[in-house]
Amino acid sequence: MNPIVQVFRKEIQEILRDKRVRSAAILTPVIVVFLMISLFGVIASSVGGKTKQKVYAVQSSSPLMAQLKKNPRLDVQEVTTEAQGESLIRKGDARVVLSIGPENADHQTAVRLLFDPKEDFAEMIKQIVKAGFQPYSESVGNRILGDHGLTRQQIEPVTYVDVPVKVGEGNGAGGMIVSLLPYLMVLFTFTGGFSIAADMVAGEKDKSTLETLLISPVDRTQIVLGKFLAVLCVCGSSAISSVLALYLANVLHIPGSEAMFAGGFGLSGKAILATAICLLPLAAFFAGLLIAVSSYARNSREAQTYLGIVNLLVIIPAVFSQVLGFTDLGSKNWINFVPVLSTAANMRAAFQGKENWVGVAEAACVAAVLGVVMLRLAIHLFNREQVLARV
Amino acid sequence: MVRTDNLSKHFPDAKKGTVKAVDGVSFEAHNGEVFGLLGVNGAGKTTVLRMLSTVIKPTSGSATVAGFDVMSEPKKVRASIGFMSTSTALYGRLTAREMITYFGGLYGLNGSSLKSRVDFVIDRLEIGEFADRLCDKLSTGQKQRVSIARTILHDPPVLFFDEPTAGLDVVSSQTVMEFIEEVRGEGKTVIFSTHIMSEVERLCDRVGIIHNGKLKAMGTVSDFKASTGQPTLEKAFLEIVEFEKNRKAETLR
Repeated sequence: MNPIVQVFRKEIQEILRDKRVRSAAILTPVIVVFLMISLFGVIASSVGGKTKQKVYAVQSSSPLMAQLKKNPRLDVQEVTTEAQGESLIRKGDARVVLSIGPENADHQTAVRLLFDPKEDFAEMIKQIVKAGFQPYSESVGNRILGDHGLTRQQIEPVTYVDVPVKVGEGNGAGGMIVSLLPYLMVLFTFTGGFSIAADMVAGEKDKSTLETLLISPVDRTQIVLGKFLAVLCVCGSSAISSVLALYLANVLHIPGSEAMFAGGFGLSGKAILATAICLLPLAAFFAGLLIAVSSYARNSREAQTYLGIVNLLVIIPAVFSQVLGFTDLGSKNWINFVPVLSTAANMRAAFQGKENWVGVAEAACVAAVLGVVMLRLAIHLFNREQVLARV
Repeated sequence: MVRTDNLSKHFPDAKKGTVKAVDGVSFEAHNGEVFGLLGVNGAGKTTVLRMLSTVIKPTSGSATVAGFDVMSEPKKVRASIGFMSTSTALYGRLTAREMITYFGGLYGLNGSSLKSRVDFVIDRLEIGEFADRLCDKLSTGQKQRVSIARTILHDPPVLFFDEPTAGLDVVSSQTVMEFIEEVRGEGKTVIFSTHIMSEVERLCDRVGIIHNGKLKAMGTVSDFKASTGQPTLEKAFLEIVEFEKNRKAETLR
């Protein structure tokens, strides 16, 4: 049997028997995905108006009070005075307190909104309150305009009409899953390999098994290739595990999944193909990088330190990929030449049903080139005498 | 057979400049002979063995192992040797049988020949009882037997033992030494590195005394005693490495 295959098989055999790796590479993605879906789902439900927000209002006989209580997105609690409301805000029990003044002779009502500016959620509740008063405000405004012989159209020079345009062939996913899925897949591709990298070479130095391996008649390059394939396999398994977890979350309807998958799952055949083309070279890049770091380190503790730094270099672009949708950077060509970010950006487009095959090819080529560079570096480091004992 | 000619290994060192770990070592070890490399810790014994097993390259000089040159035919050298030391560990998550089979594969054995060799060494070293147990779960003595099995699986003509009994209890040490005596009887060349005098006296046909990277003396234990006029190998060794002279020089400094 080819020595590369022998080393690969032995590594996989050991990896599968290692509880730490099983939990880090296979189980963790499932747990993290389930937790994130539940957490983000709850946030999405709050932002999207599926849960009622508690708001306090000073007792008032104004018709606005009745309007406020009718708002289906609000749970209105009454207080007797503004001071009592302020006290609730200071104690953290209330985010927004309304004080509705009396209507004046010009049919105007002043509504005081008391809130803690440091509370982000207060801003959202204020928007819900204002949106809830909009029909009342328009109705009173129309009446005043009518008294003067005018209509609303006459005083609004600009009107808006929303017209959704279908982009791409498939239906594609939308919303939070599009931000989350590429991020998770990229991240787990790295963390899966991360969990075994330190053991691969540096760990063998610690355990004194490396010398035995180097004394065998197998070329060192073949040993590195066998170990590289094993890390690549774990990186891929971890990424697949995260996708399976997302699929399960969707099928099992775990709490929060409705909000997360509101726009669909997005995994069409083309999206899977684009993802595979992007992700496989990236996994090769990660595997090469991890083996190179492990070969350079004196021992597994030193390897863990270096890997921690490398981890940051991967996480930063991966995190940035989540907010690509809020910028126009996703459409810039240079993004395709930034490793990690390019993979996430192209996967994001694919899940939306907007595959950019040129971008996919560019991202895959960049990751593949980096993968080859890292593999060569790993082979170089492993072939040095210092691989056994760096001085 | 193993032959070294002026074998040297120098390492760059940030503080000391160049460290001569091995400096012009020449010796020959023949088939059916146990050749001892005797020296204190850091004398250069392990570096010699690492050069002979092609893990590191000599800075100068030459060496052949089983007729193959360590510089130009490293793969053939590695295929002809078995290497064992106490620090040599096993893969904890493989069973003893898997561990032996894995290395058999790396040494080019396969199919029925691999299986029969694995069965043979398991039987010879009485590993059968724990052959399917994970190496992590084995006792020190059992691990040592698996290590020996891995070393001889491909039936190499040359065996290197680098302080193979260091840290072992009396029973485990006995297993290793009996094994070395057995393979000498089979006509194999054994290079045995140690700092334990009693092991040298029991096992080695000839000995090379290494100190500060240099081969200070070579001969039989009786030769050393005779040439130094000392009654024990320990005293002869100390005289050869000029222990007293060095100690006085250290004191004067």
